Amino acid sequence: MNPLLQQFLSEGRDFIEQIGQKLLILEETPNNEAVVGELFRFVHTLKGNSGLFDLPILTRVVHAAEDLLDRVRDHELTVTSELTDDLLSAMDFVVQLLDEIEDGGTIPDTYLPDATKLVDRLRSLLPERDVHEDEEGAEETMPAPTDWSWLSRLTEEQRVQALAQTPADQAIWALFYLPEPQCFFKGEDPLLLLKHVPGLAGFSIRAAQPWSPLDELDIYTANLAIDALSMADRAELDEHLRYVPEQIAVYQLPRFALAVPTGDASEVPGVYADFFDRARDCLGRSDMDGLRVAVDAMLDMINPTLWMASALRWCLCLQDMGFDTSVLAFHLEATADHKIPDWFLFNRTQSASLNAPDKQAAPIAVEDPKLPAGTLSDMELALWDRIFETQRQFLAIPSASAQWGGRLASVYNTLTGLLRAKGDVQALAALEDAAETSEQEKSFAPLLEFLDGYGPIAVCNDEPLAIVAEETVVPMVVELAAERQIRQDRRAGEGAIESTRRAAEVSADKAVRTLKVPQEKVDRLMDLIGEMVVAKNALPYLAARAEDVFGSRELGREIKSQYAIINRIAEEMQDGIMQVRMLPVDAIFQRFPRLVRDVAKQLGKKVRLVIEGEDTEADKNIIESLGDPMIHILRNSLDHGIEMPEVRAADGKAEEGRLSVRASQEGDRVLIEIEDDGKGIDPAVIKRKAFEKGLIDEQRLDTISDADAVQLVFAAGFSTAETVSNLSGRGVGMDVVRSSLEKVGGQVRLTSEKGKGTKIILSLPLSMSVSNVMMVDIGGQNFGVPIDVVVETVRIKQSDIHIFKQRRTAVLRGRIVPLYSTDELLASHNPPKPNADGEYAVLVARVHGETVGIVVDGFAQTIDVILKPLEGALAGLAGFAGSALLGDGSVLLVLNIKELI
Amino acid sequence: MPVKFTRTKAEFSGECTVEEAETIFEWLRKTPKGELHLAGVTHFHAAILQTLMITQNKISAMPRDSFAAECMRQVRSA
Repeated sequence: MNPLLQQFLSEGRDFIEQIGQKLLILEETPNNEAVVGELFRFVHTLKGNSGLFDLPILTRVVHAAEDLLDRVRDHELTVTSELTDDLLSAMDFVVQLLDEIEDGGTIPDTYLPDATKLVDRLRSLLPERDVHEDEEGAEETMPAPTDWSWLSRLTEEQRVQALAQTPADQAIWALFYLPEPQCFFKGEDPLLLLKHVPGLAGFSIRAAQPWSPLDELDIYTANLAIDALSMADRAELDEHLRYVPEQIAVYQLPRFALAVPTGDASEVPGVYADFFDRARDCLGRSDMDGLRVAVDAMLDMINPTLWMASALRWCLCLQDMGFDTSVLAFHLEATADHKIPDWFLFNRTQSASLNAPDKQAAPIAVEDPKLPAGTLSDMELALWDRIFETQRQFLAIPSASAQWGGRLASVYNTLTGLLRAKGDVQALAALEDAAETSEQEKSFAPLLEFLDGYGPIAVCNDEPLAIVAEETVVPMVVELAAERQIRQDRRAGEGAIESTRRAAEVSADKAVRTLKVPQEKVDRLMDLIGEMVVAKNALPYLAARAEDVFGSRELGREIKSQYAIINRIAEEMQDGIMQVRMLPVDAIFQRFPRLVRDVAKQLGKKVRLVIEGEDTEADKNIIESLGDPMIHILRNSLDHGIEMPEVRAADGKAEEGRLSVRASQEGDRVLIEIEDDGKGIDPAVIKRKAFEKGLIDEQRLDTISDADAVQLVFAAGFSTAETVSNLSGRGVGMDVVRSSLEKVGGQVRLTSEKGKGTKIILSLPLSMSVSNVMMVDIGGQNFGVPIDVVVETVRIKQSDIHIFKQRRTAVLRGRIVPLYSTDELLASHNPPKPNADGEYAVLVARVHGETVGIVVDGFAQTIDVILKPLEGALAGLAGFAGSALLGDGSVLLVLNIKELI
Repeated sequence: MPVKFTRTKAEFSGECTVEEAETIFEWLRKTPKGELHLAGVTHFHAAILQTLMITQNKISAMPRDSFAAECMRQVRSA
């Protein structure tokens, strides 16, 4: 996997962890601005980073979440428990996606429906924004040009070619690229970008503004306006243009828009009039063949380089493409006027009336611009009015000076089209005057005045028409909004990367001080120091040899003093490396607030979680092994411990239960206490259950103390829940908790008081990499016994050992201790040998709270070893905790007394 | 250097980068009669295209590269 993605995954998980925490804090204190800000930043950065990779599903979900948080930040939305739930589940989903990416490198499409559902759900929570803000948002992006005349700068061949390459039912993508003036300084080369536009079918380059005089000109200020046609699909285009989205508008051109005549504009007087009459006549009768004949005849007559010839060729071309009379008529009329057809205007009028029930009306209106207003259908009048009114609104929006000219031109063009459609020649002239004055005064006022003067046209604005109009306009708006969204997304994504970069620069000092190191590297150091310890331990053997074999006491002493130094350094090194592996328990604890919240909600209980001492540190492996057992314990407490609010109130307790988790360090162990103030464990119930399940016999049932009885919950196969709930009754009992903790050298204690609550104390070693073992001699071989199970070592006379029913016992400090001999335990044939005084060496150990004696041949020293679990074929061997290498190169097997007995 | 200047002619070749724009612009200003030989150009930076747009020096040979040629056609045909 590429390192960038890997980093994204690990950071992503961190972010989600943080997001989860912040969400919970926010739920408690909904008005905490600092937390909202932080939360938004996390989500925003996560989204931005995800934009670096091809993970649209993930980005979409995070983006939806970000939108919600953005509203929260703007005080438009308050954080409710419902909102928190949805955001949390969105984050859970993202975690799933991250897992998927980690496993397979991509997100399978099967996640798409879920993602869509989730996004819809999140979007549904978004409050409506008022129109004004939307407009502002729109202005940030580049508006698509309203003038398509640039197409005439493409050669006719280029356009014919482009048409030939696009399927008939598809529109053609066009882009308008206005490089920002300072773009050369950012290392951008607009031409290079243009050159590599996928499916580039033609382009036009103009100066965006008139050039300043040569002497004042700065050639490093970009002043280009580029238009281009592309045959590629939208996704490809967006991908290619992703670095400059704010400088580019991508829009669709209908196929007919390419029909723009070019060529020599010189007139051939008196030739055309007849032709146009004939053509109009053919069109009116929908006589396509007639039209074709007329056009062909005309083409034969005139010079093919003429503008008119080009126009006629396009007329044929449009016919070939199968466009209907409306398109042809529009083209023909423009040609008759010797004008380039304003396809933009035509397209707008047409798409507005596309869904209209009366399809015929619109083409007629366009076909003859001089038709009186009366011929416009009611439906069209309603639309007309709407467009007209929109112009007024458009002008009313304050605009930046740079866009001013464009807006004026666009409004002017639209109005001209509108008036022409109505055939209002007088108004047309008035409009022209108004626009000119507007241009001169640099103000919309004259144009607005004209609009007001023209006034709202009395149109029978009955209900059904309005609805139809609504429907026809809406799809366009939606599409625009969607496009804008995409652009905003992209920009925001870049912003995020930018901000990450900035943050990285600012915190450069900090970054140097904290290193992110893969665990394998630290493990390797750990292995090396282990070998170092072993090698170091060889020195005392060497010193002994120097004395005994070579008879040099002095050399022996020197070796020993050197050993002392190396020993000290090695121990410090070991300590240092161990520190590196230390993690605060918070790594595990931070999951709990979410867990407790969710579970409590599910059960309908009220619980307050108190966490203390979360910065207590322990070895990474220890911390990691803590996770599952603790979750199990917490679930138990929530499910069985803490009562329903009404029960608690009846018992005189606070309705809200309290669950506290405390971590602390005690010597070389970490203590974790989990305490609840719930109903506690009833020893009587435990006893009865244990008896029913055959875990204790009748005699024990009567004698067992309450404190001992509650420990029975740790017995294998014990579960007190009356009904199996989906929370704790998963067939995993407390026995699993205990055994998984014991695997890392931990212990569990439980105390409970009926009606008051339960307290579970976990005790774990700080680190499990170095174990202190006691070496014992069994049948001539040394074995290790972990020192934490050893209570004492004693020698017992043979005469003090009593045998009851083949079980040997001895009385030790007033207690009967069962004795096990190692030949039984290890199935060897060397029974333990007493020493010269007839005494047996007995190792007294504590196993599951019971004291047992193990008869061995002799004791040796205690030693620190790096315990390695048995691997490969030996991994399944029960009874051994692992092996360790000794200083003289021999291997020490370390016994697991608990398993042996 | 992808651009070779003589007293009457500037010969462009290969890829002309943004760094060259200034030099070219100065030469074009000082030598309005100078001819441009662009046949060997594979790509020019937008800044260079701009200088060619502003100054109206005669082009003695259009670029063989189709994209560069189309750019020139666009900026000089208008």
